[in-house]
Amino acid sequence: MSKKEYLDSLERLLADVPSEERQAALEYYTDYLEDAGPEGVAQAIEHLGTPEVVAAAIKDSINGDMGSGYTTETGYREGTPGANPYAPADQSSGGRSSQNGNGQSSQNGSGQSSHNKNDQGSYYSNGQSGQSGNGQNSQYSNEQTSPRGNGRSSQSDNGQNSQYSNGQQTSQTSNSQNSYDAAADPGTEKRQNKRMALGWIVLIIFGIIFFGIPVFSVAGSLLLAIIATLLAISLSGFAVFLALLIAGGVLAVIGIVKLLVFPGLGIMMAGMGLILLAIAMVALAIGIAIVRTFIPWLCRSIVWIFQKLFHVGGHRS
Amino acid sequence: MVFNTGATLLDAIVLSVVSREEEGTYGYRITQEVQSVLDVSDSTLYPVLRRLQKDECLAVYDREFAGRNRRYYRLTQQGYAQLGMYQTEWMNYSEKITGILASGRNRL
Repeated sequence: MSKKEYLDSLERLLADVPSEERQAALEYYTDYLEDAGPEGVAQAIEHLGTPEVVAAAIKDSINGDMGSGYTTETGYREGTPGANPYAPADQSSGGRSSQNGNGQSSQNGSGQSSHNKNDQGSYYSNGQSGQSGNGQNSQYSNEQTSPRGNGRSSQSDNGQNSQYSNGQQTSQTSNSQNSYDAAADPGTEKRQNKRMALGWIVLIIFGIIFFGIPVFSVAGSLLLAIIATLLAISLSGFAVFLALLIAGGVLAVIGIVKLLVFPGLGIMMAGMGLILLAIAMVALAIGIAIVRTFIPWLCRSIVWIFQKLFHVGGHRS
Repeated sequence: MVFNTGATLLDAIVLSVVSREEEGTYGYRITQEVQSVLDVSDSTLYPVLRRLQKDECLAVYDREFAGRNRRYYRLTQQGYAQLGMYQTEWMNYSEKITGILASGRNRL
């Protein structure tokens, strides 16, 4: 790959980063390859890794994956435990170390991009993350057997899982056994999660069925009772109005008639009649008030209750 | 190297390397110098430089070299303060580690 091809490719890969960042990165790498000199350019490109690798490192840093806590007074406290260096690293296999060397350079050539999202890991393993399943191991192997150029970018001290979760790299490596093991973990985990989620959904559905029916029937009957009561009150209000209206009217008329014969009794009856008419009006007013306010309120409440139930149910599932 | 080099240590190393040149220095050379002591991949250093620049520990300027503009990095006041902090911290830390490792008894 020529310098121009390399930079063009990098520019394409950085198409989705802010133009300012892209520009800065391209200037840097243009400078970088210029400074490598005409005869050093090929080697510099080889050492840099594929444009994909370089682009991934740039994007990672833009996304803030490079850590940010460096200004603290007490020094940087980022968790960097990494893979256990004392983990049973199979260092005895000479065959493997040469495999590492080979697999790696062929990866470089084939243009695999495999950056990881891991802070620490990204410093070491932007290139050949496939080997990180046994990070320490491959590192030793490379240092023993391969020239510096190949060995350099193969150390992924940590982040086995995070790398594989990118899902691109599982088949890249020569020591595929290790990478397969590491890659299997997130997969099983995902399946387990899925199964657990399914279990929860079934449980919730059963819960809704078993607890929902009584709850719904109780709520429903309560609601019906309330509606019936309110209707009864308003109806009886109208009935009382009618009865009192008739009684009051009759009494008033009788009273006025009696007034001519027995003035005292007549006045009393006419007064009672008028009082009954007044009470009839009050009853009418109450009936109207119930019909006008309580029933719309009731409708709104019912709608609200159902909305609430519906919303909650949807949220759960 | 069997020991991890965290982001902070890399920051400190880059700041130190850049600070050694009064006029500042440029990406390719920084990479070479860092790699002379530390096994980091080449694509690692640009993000570090960019971040230090954004954090205003490094300033950039262009200077003509061989008929083209080359981007130089130099430390800002804040960069020097940061480097000083790193130096103190590292001396403390490395002394302690050296002390405890040196006191270990290898009974092989």
